[in-house]
Amino acid sequence: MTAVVTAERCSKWYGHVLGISDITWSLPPGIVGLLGPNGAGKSTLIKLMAGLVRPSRGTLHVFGDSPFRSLEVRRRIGHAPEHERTYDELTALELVTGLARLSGLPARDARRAAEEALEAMGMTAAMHRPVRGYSKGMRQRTKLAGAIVHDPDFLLLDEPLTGVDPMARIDIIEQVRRLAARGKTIVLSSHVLYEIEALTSEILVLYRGQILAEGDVFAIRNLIDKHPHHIRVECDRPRPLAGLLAQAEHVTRVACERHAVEVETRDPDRCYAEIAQAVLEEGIVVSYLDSPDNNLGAVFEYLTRGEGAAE
Amino acid sequence: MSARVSSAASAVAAVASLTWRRTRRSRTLWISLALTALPIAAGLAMRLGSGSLDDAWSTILSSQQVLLAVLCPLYAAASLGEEIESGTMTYLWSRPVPRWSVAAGKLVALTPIVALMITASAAATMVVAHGAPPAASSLAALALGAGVLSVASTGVATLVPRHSMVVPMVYLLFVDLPVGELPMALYRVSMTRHLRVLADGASGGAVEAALWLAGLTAVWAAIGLWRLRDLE
Repeated sequence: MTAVVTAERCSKWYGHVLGISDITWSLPPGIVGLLGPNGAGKSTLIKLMAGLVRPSRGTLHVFGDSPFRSLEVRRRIGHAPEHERTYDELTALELVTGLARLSGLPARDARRAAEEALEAMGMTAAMHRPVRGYSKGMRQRTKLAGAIVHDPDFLLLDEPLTGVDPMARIDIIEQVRRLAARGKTIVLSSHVLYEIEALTSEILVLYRGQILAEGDVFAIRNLIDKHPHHIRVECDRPRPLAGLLAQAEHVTRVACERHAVEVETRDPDRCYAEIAQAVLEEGIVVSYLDSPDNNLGAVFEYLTRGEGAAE
Repeated sequence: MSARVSSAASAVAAVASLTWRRTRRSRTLWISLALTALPIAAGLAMRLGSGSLDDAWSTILSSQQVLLAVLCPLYAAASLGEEIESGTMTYLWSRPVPRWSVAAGKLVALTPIVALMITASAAATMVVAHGAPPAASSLAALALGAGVLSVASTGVATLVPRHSMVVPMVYLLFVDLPVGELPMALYRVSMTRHLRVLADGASGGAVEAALWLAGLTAVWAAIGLWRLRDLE
């Protein structure tokens, strides 16, 4: 599968401030979530891919060429920046029409494309009003409409769900899914993990300008199996279950609550098998079983905890 | 090649359209209209005096030089610098257009506004002060001034985007204008002085002034283009 983005030992500094450090990475088609805390380098990587900044060292190519230099590459990219500042004096329709024209659409087609993009983002009713009066969610939708108006192959969405109300969040997530279903490659960043989780399990975790982990979240979880894995079992009789699990050599901690047991293990597969066996043998009624570790938040916490501990 | 030129031309037109729509709804327009009315008010006072036509025009030209030094940074330089500083420039620079076309589009939209204000202000002031409009060539020189000082202001603004309006204004008011009054050859680097020579309508020195003006404008345009290429 041809990579959409290839970075070779790519670094970016802003004066003495590090943005990205020595990243070698390739991005296959599909949706990829860019995760990391504030200052991790997510926006810098997105700016590099959007052609807004150049690598200080190394190379970063999109569709085989430099997005900073090549107008043809930028024609295939749609970018929604992180900041919410837009042209407040304009209406959403004027703004998105202008962006469509800048993306190479003829004037006669640009307005129609802008109307369609704004409609897709649920902005039809408000598109004739100045952006100045928009809520944060409406600004996000307008930015996203601007990013998709020229039907790009590659979308870069920097924190697209930040500050968005729940209804807008659902709409935006649905839109992103639809775009991905149409074969678009999408990179979206967030420091809130459940936002990414709702869209993709393919993630790239950045921390202090470097790639901490990449791939499927479960594959990443396997990479960090040396860290304890949590399993929570809600059941009618937690004490006998806790007693059985506490004897297992791979279990490092057992916490018993009134109607739940939370286990920390170094071998999740064996632990799941032993829970099943204990439940059958003791006749325990399980109402809920989950591993909080399958949540991206836990994975990210594990990954960054190691870095933090090294300080 | 022709497709590339057409693409750049449509990018310039798109940026100009966006800029014009924003400007006509901004406060800057009303502030600058108030500023251009000031010389007209001064023209009323001049009417009460007994100066000659040349004296009146000379005074009006001085006020228009100052007005140009204020309005060009207020429009062209601020428009570019504020977008770089606020981050909205990312909407334009992430599009498949050369960066120079963004600056060109802004100049295309804003220079005619400044030119119209300056020439209208100069003509109205002269009519109020002396009952007759200035020569068309003098007004054309002021309109040209709006163009060249907008380019120069933009060039300065690309060097200091954070202070994109103030620094070009300070440069034009406190460097370019005073240098133009110097008796030494240094006055040749003053763009406002060359504009004055052209707007005065005197035959001597007009060609030299035009050449110097073209050269200085080219230098600022080159600085602006070089900076725009590398700005992040």
